[in-house]
Amino acid sequence: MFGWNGKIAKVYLTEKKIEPIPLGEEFLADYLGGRGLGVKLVYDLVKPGVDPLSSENILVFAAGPLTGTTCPTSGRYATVSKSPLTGTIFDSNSGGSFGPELKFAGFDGLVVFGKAEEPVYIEIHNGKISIKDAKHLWGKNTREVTRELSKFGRVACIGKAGEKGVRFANIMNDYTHACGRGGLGAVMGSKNLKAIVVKGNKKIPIFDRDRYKKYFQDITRLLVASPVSSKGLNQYGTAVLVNLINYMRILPTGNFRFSRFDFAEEISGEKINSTFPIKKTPCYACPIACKREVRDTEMEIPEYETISMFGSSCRISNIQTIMKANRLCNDYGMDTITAGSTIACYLELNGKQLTDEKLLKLVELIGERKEIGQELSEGSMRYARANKNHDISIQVKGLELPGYDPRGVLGLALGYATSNRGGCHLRAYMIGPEIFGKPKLVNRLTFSGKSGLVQVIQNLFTAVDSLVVCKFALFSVGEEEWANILSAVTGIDFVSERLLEIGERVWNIEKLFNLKEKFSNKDDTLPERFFQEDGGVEGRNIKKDEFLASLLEYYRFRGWSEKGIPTKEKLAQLNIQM
Amino acid sequence: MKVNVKLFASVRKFSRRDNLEIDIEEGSIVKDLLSKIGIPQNEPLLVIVNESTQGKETPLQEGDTLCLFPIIAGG
Repeated sequence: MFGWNGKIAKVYLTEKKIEPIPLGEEFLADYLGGRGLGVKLVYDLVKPGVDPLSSENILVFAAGPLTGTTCPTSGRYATVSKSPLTGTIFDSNSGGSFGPELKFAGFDGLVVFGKAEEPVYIEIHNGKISIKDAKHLWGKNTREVTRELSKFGRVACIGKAGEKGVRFANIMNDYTHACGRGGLGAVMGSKNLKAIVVKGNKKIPIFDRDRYKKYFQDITRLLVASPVSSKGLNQYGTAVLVNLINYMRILPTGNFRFSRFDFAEEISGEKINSTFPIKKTPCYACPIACKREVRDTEMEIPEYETISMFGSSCRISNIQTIMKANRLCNDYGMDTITAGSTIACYLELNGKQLTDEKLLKLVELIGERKEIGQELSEGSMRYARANKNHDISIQVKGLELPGYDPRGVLGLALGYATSNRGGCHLRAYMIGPEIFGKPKLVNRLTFSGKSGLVQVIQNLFTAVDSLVVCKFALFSVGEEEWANILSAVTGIDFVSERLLEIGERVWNIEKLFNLKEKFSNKDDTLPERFFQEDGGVEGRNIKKDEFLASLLEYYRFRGWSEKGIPTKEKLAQLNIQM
Repeated sequence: MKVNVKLFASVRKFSRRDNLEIDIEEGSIVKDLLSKIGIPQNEPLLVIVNESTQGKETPLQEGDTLCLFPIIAGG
């Protein structure tokens, strides 16, 4: 087999048993890896109604067929489970070097079952897996744990937030890279699993080296030629978006009550670049190199999403405070989007203004699950509901919306509503066509033409999440190039249509999982605020009838019933067994 | 006619000031404005005119606000 190792390992923590499982090429060609492989395993192995934080849930770590090759941006892996934040199936992926190392160690993935009696970590070394005592690591945050275990290999771990069951705890790898959303770190913590450390020196076998070299050069050329990947992201990171998104009047401000922040320049990428000396810290095999830190300090530069939530949404205009909040979240192992949005929700509910010190204190209290932090550690949906004010929680299916106000980007609004993991921009990044004009500019203020586009982009992104490559590369590299290099690596004939079909297959399986969890078309909606209020731009509230018409059209494009349920014909076409 | 121009990120290198008020002939398009500021025509730009993404051939009107960004994406 080429590209894949053809093997995953099942690790049973309760029984302290490890079972390597071979995977056939035909199966892998249908799901690829990463999100696709993880979703298939979670769908097959997790019974409906299981408590996500119980030992009956499983946690999958999955690399893809390109992971560990030199293919640009392929240094990624996915984690997949049932989310304690949303109750949906949930995948979250991350860069760094952990994913490639998992492949070098001889596995395409790892499935963790059960719960260890006492804290443990899993060590994988060139095909050999052992479960080790982690009592000395329990109670430590991610930076410390990573530093301690790095001598044995690449580390993915949880901090205190994951141990204590913060519903949006993340899994951090290689110090600062995060499987950020959905609380899969809490799933890991509920299993008493502190970390996974991997090391290996296996080479990834490539089917056709000459063709691989050609397609590698094609992709590299496209990335270098594109100003998005070679200049914008490379020079400013994602923080460069702050000013643009603010001027487009879609920057969440004061918990999405407003869409423009008067102090945006103070928290912008321009401000960061003029204030701090920057060091780039790229992921494995990535020429884009968007990840950055302050030189000589190891202080991470926050991503755009983090800035929009802790900054404008919490009305904090000091970039250094946002950087400290970001660092705290990374150390505790928590999603910055949900943390920031939940704090913004708390502020609105209590009519409070925030000081810089108070913000940092709240983040810490959440990570420790102490005092008010205990309530906030449940995420904004549960917090607002407990306080009898559900509508001020800005989430879809329990996942807080990221840094784009949907009232000014209606394709993204539909994308948020139909996302299988809840309020997320990365299922279909409609900011591409609606704001950047990539691949083609569309009118951002209409639903017209959006339902077909949204589902195609969702399918494409699902396939990309299964390879696993970085979505930032998609601004320059199309599905044809990915299909070409995948064919050269695996020796299987992939074309664009086949990639999109894989994406559609995985999307439909996610939908089936959620339907079994009692999610319905009623959950494919947006927070009421966006229908009722205009966010400070006259007349910009979303018209519900237009939204519902667009949703129905989306279901039709998907080949689903009017209630949003995949039809038997659609499932048969995608070769999905119920 | 007068138009307001705001420069961002690497586009700021073309002017000493980030916010400009430019006097330009009636009937001008974005390209004419770029020449006036001294931005090369082939500079890859994301042009926003009054909160709407536009091309370099877009005609300008009195009182327009233009935001000029390098080609950026991501998030």
